[in-house]
Amino acid sequence: MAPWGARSGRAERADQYLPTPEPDLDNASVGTMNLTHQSANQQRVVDGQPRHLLELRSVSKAFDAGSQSDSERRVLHEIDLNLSIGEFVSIIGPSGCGKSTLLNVISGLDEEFSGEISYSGAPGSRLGQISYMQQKDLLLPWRTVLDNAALGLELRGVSHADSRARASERLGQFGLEEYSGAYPAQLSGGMRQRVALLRATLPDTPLLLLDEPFGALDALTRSEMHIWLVGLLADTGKSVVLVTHDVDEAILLSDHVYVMKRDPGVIDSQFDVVIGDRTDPGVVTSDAFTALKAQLLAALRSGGTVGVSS
Amino acid sequence: MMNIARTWLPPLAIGTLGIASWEIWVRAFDVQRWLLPPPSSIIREIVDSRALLSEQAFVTLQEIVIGFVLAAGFGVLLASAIAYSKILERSLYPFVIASQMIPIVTIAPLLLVWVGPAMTSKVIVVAMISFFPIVVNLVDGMKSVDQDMVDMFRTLGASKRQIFLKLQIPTSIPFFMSGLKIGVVVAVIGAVIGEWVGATGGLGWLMRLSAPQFLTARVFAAIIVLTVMGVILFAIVGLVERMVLKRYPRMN
Repeated sequence: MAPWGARSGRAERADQYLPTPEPDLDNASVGTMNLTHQSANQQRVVDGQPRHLLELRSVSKAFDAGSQSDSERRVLHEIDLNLSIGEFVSIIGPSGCGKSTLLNVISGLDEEFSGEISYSGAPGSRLGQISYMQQKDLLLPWRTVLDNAALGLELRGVSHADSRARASERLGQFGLEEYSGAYPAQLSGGMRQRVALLRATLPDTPLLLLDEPFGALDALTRSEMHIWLVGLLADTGKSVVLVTHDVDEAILLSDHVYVMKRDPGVIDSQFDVVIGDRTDPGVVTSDAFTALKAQLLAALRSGGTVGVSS
Repeated sequence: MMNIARTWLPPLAIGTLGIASWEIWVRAFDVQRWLLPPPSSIIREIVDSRALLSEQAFVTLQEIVIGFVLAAGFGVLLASAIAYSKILERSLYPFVIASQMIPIVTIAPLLLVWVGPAMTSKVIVVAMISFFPIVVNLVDGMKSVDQDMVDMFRTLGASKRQIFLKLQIPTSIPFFMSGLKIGVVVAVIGAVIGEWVGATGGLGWLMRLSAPQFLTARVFAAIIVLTVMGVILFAIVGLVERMVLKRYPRMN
């Protein structure tokens, strides 16, 4: 049995945590846009009980700032974050605000922090139970596409044949069926990222962390990947935390966007994303999209302190 | 065609020039044959004594190959232990390094006493001298893994053992090949040193035997055969390396 024990309860829980409802078009047309500014640690409460896939409580982390200064550099400061099943959350913020550190902490790679993290209601080690895809594809050059994709299952003790068979079933979904026997050096950047994502998601974990996964891709490939990812995630019902520099990407993919501020690294504000059909390439020029983008950019410029509540 | 000419013409020209001047020098000044034989008589010696030379070359070749294979196998085990465990690294690595500080010529006579003048003592010398570059390169390779790669493995739930087998070992293969290339060169030297100290056969033994008898052409002939053998062995390892690197490229 999977150690997070969420398998059986997942379906009914998912019902309780439906993503933000579709926008009310009448309201949008009169300009209220359904954009709300909420406190960062807003909790979703169902039946009077907060139940989340992932909960962060006052997570803080500091590095020594060096000999010149007495104070430490507070990379993460009192971060509260809740993530429900099926929810897609983006974190944007300036370089060095601690976005990637936050993902390392959530994934279990970085254990030196204060505060509490509970995942699927259990405190223990999260390594191997959360899918994490980094900016670099980190494909093993000596393995074929299929063997790279199957790595995660293989490491869990699934037999070589079984892990390959399960990876093979999913290649089509990732547009890789013709490249099963190819080596990473023979692939384009977009294809390599898809292999990395397949590898990360194949062990069926309920949470996926993405650290600027498309940062190295050209604009066209990136927008293709966005549309593809939206479709892919709609099928799986995974929860996602995405860290990105790209405001468009954050809006296109997420239910909520958190804006982080640096020194100290805090979550400063949260925005709900309510836009139309995300798979429609025209959505990026819609009023709802551009208005939200303007607000996010303003929040980023001011370190997120500007008042944007509607 | 032009490229081949450009690559091979200069060394060929220098070589020919050197050999020709040597030949002319010896003939013009009538240098004693036992002191310095001309290239022509060295070549004649190689042709005339081909049976003897190939017989002794085969002895040396066996010592090199057996010793080198032992060194590679032992090197992999030792490097794995050192790279896998900090405690093993601290306990073993100093002795690996110390083993190379002992001049091999002082160990070789003892080996004669211990295991006799047959091939075994030479095999041991070859293994002792060639395991070092293999171990050092392998340890470096196993430790050169990218931390991001290690983190990726950890997020997939990999154990230390899995990271070692599925990441560190494949990453170290190009380093292993570099170690083997250096190892095979010093293996040739090791075999000759071993034979020099005491043997019942081999090219080193033949040189040792021929020099006091003023069979200088034969000494030169043995040197040439040994050199050609060393170059061929190096080329074979290089060829294997090229094939292996296609599958296991150097990372970073």
